[in-house]
Amino acid sequence: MKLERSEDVYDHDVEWVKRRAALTALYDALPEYGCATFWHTLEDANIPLEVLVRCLRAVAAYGDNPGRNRIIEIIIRRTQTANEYWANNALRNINLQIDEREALVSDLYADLCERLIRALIDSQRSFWEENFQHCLRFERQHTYQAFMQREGRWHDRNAEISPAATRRVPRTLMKSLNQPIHDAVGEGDVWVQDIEDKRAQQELLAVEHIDLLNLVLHLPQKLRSVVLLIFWEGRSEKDTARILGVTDRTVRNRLREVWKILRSELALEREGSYG
Amino acid sequence: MDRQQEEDVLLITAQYVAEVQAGQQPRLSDYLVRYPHYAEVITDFVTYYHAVEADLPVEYLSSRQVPPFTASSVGELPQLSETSRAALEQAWKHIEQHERVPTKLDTTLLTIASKRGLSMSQLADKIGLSSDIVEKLAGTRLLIDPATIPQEVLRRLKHVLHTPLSAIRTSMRRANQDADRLQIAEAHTSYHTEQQLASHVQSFREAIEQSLQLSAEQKAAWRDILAREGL
Repeated sequence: MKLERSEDVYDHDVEWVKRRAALTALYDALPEYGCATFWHTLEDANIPLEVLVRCLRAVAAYGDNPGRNRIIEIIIRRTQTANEYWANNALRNINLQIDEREALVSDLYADLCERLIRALIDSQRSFWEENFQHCLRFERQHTYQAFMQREGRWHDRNAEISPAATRRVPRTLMKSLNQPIHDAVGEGDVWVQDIEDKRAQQELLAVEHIDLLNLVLHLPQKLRSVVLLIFWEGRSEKDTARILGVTDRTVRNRLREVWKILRSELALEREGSYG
Repeated sequence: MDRQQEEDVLLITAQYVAEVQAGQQPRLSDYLVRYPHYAEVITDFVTYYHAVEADLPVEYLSSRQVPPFTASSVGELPQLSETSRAALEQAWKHIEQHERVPTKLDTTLLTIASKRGLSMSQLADKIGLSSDIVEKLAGTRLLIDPATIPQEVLRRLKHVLHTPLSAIRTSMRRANQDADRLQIAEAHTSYHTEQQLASHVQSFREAIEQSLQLSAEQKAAWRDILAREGL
């Protein structure tokens, strides 16, 4: 199904149109390529990154590798504060020794640089020339997901449970769920009772949003929307079913899968704490 | 997801982020209802965005705005941090490993250096230059006018690479011919810089002055050498 972008998202937004025009005007006004003023202009931290991407692609198309590399370095320098912060922040919930964490953060950042270089050079990816920061966000998302899967710290898209997960389950959530877990004996039927336990649901609703999101981030893809709509947006199961175009039963089944995964991870967490 | 779908998702999620940044608190459910065919990727992005991205430092303004820019409003470009330099080098190394294509590279000074166990940055260090200049000097295409290169550079290359001066000159001449061919044979692009690019071969002095990586002391030393050699 093709997106009706002209009506839905983009061209109706006057600000976006203005933005595109402004970027084109800046690009067209650049000094002659290769002269000192040209490079001086590109090294100005105020020039939009989108203009740098257009220059980079022009230079790369011509085979001027030193010029291409120079612009890539400028872009890396312009984005390094956020990227370094991101690499540290993205792995903050993983239980690791300090040196192991540092190594992983370095690898994650290098992965991002590699993806960034490939994306910047690829002239087919035109949105980079219109909204650099958002494309960078998207690239970071995919770098993060690919990295976590490669390192075995992420649920495979098709896997139901990832017992190897070493991410720390939020303490507040552990507290919320401890009681039902101690009461339960681990049988499937008991889980149905837990899901319907309004008190437990209320407690999950009280979990810090950031913790909930971190938790959802590591769930298999098909389960994420259910948890977000119910526990983040406060929708009912019925509402959630309507929004997702599935039956109430499917929503309940997916919730049951979520609880199953949580229980598994909580067990691992306890083993880590006491074992 | 094909290229068109990826662009669609970028547009949709950019709209979401713009609304968040404008303080509008957009609802995920609205987006899922509006774009059911992209429900999974939108959910993925929204989750990731709020969990990881939302509180990152932003380099400039919001997504929709183009910052005011005039030639007089010069902003200082930060130096490349050690962390970023290491990440960038690792990324390039990985890209080169996976995309190595056998070409005329065997005749370049960089290949000779590589056979001596020297990377580009090591070669640069040893001859008192920076990687960005060495790439112009020693890559597949000579991007510095040979007539403007000081003899001191050739002497240092000879010493470091244990290679006769004649071989260094031959390598540079060949790379220079390739640079000439590039200017004639390359297809034009749609960008207005295409004509400007034809004149991308520069003098050694310009390369020194424009280098992002050479220190002020190194630049001063090369200026002295250039003056001494009357270049």
